[in-house]
Amino acid sequence: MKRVKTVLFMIVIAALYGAGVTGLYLSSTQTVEQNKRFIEQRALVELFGLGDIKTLSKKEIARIVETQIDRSETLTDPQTGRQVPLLKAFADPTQSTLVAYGFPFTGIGFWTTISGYIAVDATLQKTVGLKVISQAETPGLGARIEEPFFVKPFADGLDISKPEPGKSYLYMGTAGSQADPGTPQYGRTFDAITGATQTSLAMERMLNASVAEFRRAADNRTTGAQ
Amino acid sequence: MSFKDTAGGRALLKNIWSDNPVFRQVLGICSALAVTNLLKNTLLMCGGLVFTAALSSLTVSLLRNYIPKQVRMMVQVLIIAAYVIIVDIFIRAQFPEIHKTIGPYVGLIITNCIIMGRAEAFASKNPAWPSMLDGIGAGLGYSLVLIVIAVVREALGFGTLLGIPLPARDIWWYQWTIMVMPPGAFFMLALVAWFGNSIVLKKEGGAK
Amino acid sequence: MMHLLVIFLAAAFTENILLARFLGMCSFLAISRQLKTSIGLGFAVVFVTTFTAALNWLLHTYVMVPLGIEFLELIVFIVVIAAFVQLVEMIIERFSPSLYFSLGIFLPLITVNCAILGVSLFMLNKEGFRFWESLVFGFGSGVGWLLAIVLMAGIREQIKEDKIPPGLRGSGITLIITGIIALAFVAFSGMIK
Repeated sequence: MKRVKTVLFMIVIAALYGAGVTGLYLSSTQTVEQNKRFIEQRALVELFGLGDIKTLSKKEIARIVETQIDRSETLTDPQTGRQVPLLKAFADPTQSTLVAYGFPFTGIGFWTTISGYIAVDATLQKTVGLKVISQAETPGLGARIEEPFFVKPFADGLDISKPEPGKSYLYMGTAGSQADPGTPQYGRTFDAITGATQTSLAMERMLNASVAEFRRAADNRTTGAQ
Repeated sequence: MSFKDTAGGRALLKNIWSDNPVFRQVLGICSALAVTNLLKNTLLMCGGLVFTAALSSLTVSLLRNYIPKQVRMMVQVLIIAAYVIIVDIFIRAQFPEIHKTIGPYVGLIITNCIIMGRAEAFASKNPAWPSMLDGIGAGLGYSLVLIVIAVVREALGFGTLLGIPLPARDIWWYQWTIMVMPPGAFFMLALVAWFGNSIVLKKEGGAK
Repeated sequence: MMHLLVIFLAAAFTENILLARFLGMCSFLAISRQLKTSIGLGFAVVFVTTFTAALNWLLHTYVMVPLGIEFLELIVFIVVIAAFVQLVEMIIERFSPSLYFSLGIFLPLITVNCAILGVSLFMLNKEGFRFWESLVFGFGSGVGWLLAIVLMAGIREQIKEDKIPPGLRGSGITLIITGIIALAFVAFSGMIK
């Protein structure tokens, strides 16, 4: 009898709290989805420099993304068969002047998944920006991948053309140092975060993997078009 | 009878200083390591902890006569986790900007042993009101230590406080990288424990 | 078989959950005073991480994903862990009352040992982890925790007779030692690429 009561008690408590959490979750899914979409839209506007996100309203940001970013094209990586979306950002709603291309990256950081977008110029061989959309790295350490100092080398332009065999696309380097011309690291180095070696290494790994996939897919596109 | 003589008042004050959860009972260390390199994150974490500790202590205490001993841990943990997740979902929906900074801590609040420790050691044996005060006291005692550590770590590690640069930062500040990393937290915690324990020991020695 | 061994070694040594990720510190600092209790608690943690990792993997793959209730993940995982800890508590109480009393409040507190919840959450992030991989990963992480606490208990037994300022005894000196070990591990993490 006592045992039955124990089990019943556990079930009742679990059902009660489970229902509470589920109810709140269901009632908030829509808002959460909207928030998530807005965060991504704002990140894209900032990445491609399509407007000042501080002064634009939510609606204006959504309209810019809708009219000035073309998401219709996807590339295929010939090696794995995986799809890579290719974003095209335009300076005006008529979509006449191209600002930059972009593609998403994702991978496991030190704690959880990190994802974001990389912007590249019209030749598809040079980065013009990087924006992290979601991450949960250690605050004050790994979480600094969102800060300007980390993003700056990508905005200034890193070389993502095909490297020599056996070499990487991108390298993590000591903060503030410059690689010498002629070395494989030249023009391909971004600053590591002091004290967050693991997150920096994870970024190096996932960016190389995503860039390599993009390179294969993009080269496939040009040869396919010819 | 003053506030300090009531059961709840005594529990609250004891947890803040002489039985401080961090340096006397060595509880809640993981989160103390993770969040104290920036004061802003520390304050958010402390707020979340005081809130959850108070609510879960209250709930555990209200249910204490009904919870069978064999499943008490499951019930306690379920209560704590449910409150934390409810708060998490609420913040995620209503304040997405704040959620970006507090999101990573959700798991850390659930597994903060202070909450479960107080529920197990105090709330499961005492009436509701003192239990809630006990939970708040433990939360405040934890906050006290963490804020001290965070002020030192952020000042030495980043040269800022709450993200605002300290006066004349360019002249005196040189980055102590170790303060940003976990080992810095260990050394700061040790210093605070040393200081706190010495005072508590002295007081106890004098009272004898 | 080979890749299971690699997972085990990585979880126990290079990615040691306690020394590389700083999870599970509370009971580590409080219990490492004596070698005997440390070993007892260490084995309890190994047992709990191994089986909760396996069970949580099954629940995640066959219940939560098909039903689309991943948002309940944290609650389900922690309740499973609590159930296991409760089981361990009953076993220890029956077979080793002395260990039961020396562990005190820290036995129930294994539930909220963030290392254990951490293992269950990390294994979902690892690519290509199936049932056996998860079980071995949980076991390896537990063994890593056991090794770390035994190491610490050994050091603390050595310095028991030394002259330490009274305020620094106990938690204070342990924190300093852990800080130094942590520094060493931070250096390691920069070396392995």
